[in-house]
Amino acid sequence: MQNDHHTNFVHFCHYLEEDIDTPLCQELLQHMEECPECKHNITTIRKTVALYRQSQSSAHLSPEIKRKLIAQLKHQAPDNLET
Amino acid sequence: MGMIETETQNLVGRIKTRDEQAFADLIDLYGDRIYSLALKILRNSSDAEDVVQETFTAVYEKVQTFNEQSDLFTWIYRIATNFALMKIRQSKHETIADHDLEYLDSRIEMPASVHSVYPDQLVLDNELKRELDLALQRIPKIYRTVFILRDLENLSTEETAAILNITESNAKVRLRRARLFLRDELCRYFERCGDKEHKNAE
Repeated sequence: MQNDHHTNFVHFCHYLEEDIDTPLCQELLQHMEECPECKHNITTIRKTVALYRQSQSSAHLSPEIKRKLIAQLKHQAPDNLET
Repeated sequence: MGMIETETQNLVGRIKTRDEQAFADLIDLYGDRIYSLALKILRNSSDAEDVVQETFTAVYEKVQTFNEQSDLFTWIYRIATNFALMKIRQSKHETIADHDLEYLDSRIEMPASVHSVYPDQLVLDNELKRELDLALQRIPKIYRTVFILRDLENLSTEETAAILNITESNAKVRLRRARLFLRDELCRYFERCGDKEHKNAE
């Protein structure tokens, strides 16, 4: 593999989406172990994604909104609803 | 056919007959996820609730035309995403104009220097959470939406592309750029933090 960091960098980012078992991905993994710059790139991207996932809190629709929504839909078609 | 697919088809069938309980079941099944998605895109609970109402109203109105061989989840998510993006367009809160995208893309496609700051250990305090949120709001919505759907909502590339009506290749490119942009924004933030600590220590 040529020591072209920009090309490798683009491949690495595609790699995050690709099947790890392909020959290209295996070659990239090998290069990553040997190249500090490429390893740094992939590591910081992974950390960024992990940080965002960690920062998310679960959001729940309030029961009141659910009730309001069902009532609104009832109002739209009162003749069609089972009791 | 898998059990989940059978149950979903049954649910759609019941909704088409205007079964009230079926609609309540649909809201129970997807309400929280749609709300969560809208909240991530809009960052405002009131707007997110509006999107939930608009989404389920649209589902109620259009369900008769829904092809039961299609994926219900993808269909509802697409409706919700479109309503959320419409709200952004209406509020004109987009921070980067389309004509600036070309410059932005050329900037973010470069690898970060191995000397760029990215701490090994991080405390997810309120300040960092705020910075994460601000960084997410700074990227163009076409990249932000893909990042939210793929990395935060954990949808597949295929599902994301279907929801946004783009090719899978396009979805991968946008996700890559979103990740790179956010990584670079965080590196700049960590550098500023390092400078601040250095100045405080002097």
